[in-house]
Amino acid sequence: MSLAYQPSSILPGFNDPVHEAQTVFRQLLEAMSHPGVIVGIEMTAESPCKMSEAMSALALTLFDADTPVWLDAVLAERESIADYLRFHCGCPIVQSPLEAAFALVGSVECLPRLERFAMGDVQYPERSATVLMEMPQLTGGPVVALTGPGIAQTRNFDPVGLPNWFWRAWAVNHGAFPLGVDAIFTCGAEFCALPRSTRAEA
Amino acid sequence: MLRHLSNDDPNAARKRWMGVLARTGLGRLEETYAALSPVPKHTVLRKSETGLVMVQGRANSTGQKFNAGEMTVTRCSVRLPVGTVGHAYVAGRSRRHAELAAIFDALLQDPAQADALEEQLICPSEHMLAEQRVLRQRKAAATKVNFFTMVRGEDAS
Repeated sequence: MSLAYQPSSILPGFNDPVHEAQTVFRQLLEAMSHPGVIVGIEMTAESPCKMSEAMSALALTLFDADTPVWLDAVLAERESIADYLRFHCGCPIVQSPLEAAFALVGSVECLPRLERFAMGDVQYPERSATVLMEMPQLTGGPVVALTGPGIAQTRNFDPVGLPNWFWRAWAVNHGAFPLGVDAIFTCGAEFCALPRSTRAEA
Repeated sequence: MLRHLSNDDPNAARKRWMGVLARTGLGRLEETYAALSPVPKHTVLRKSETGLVMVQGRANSTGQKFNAGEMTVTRCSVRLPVGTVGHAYVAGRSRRHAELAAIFDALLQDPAQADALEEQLICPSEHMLAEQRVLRQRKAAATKVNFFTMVRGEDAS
């Protein structure tokens, strides 16, 4: 018979969509305004396989019909993830990272070069991508010192698993301000953010 | 109401029962649900939520599309343990109605239960809805007024 009769593996979304999305959004603002600070969230929705709770909660909060989303090979491999996002967020899934408003990266070792994402343009710098990446751990890796808006002096940031070109590419990204991508690192039920305004020194 | 159900529409059967479920009274759905054994244990994928949808019309079904107005709709999606997903879009604000309609939509996709439900719920309800519709049409038809324009004398002279 038709597609409609096949069993589906879509998981439930937020239990209380309005309030939970507002709470997660508040925490994201907190993380964005204090780059490198780790924020924890409570997730009531079930996360699809290979997506952390933090990433699923952010996806349910941020994505809607106006935000094209790109999935990396690890996440795109699972049809259930695209189904989950389409069902709960109604967001279009795009094939090219350049078209995406949000990019979900399931394995940070295979993170595409940052130039492959939308940087925005001078009239509309907000038309850039926000890249959410799954990290093995948010602390315990090589230390970089963050400076910039939201940081009084410097803040140490030591995520595990970033490719070794990342901080050089980040310097270029930061240099292109007000253009550039913003990054969110997720792991389990925690996440932290690195807006383009943050300078990082290894 | 015009329905464009062609024979080659693979979802025609489902469209039909979803439409019937959406129009069936809540009381009747509750009764049928209570009589189910075993009562299905469903997971709510998307909780019942109420919103507005824009209803579009087309004069005489062929003219330009126009927005007729917004209507209140409640929708809900559930999943049964076997994995079938049921959806419901119901006019009005009854969350329970949307949830029950979604549960029945999921159950009706299971060939083992479809026949029984079809007999207990869908067919009788469809009948009743059709009767109500005819009644309403008759009432409306009784108020029909014909207008005549009579030729006046001006042109005759």
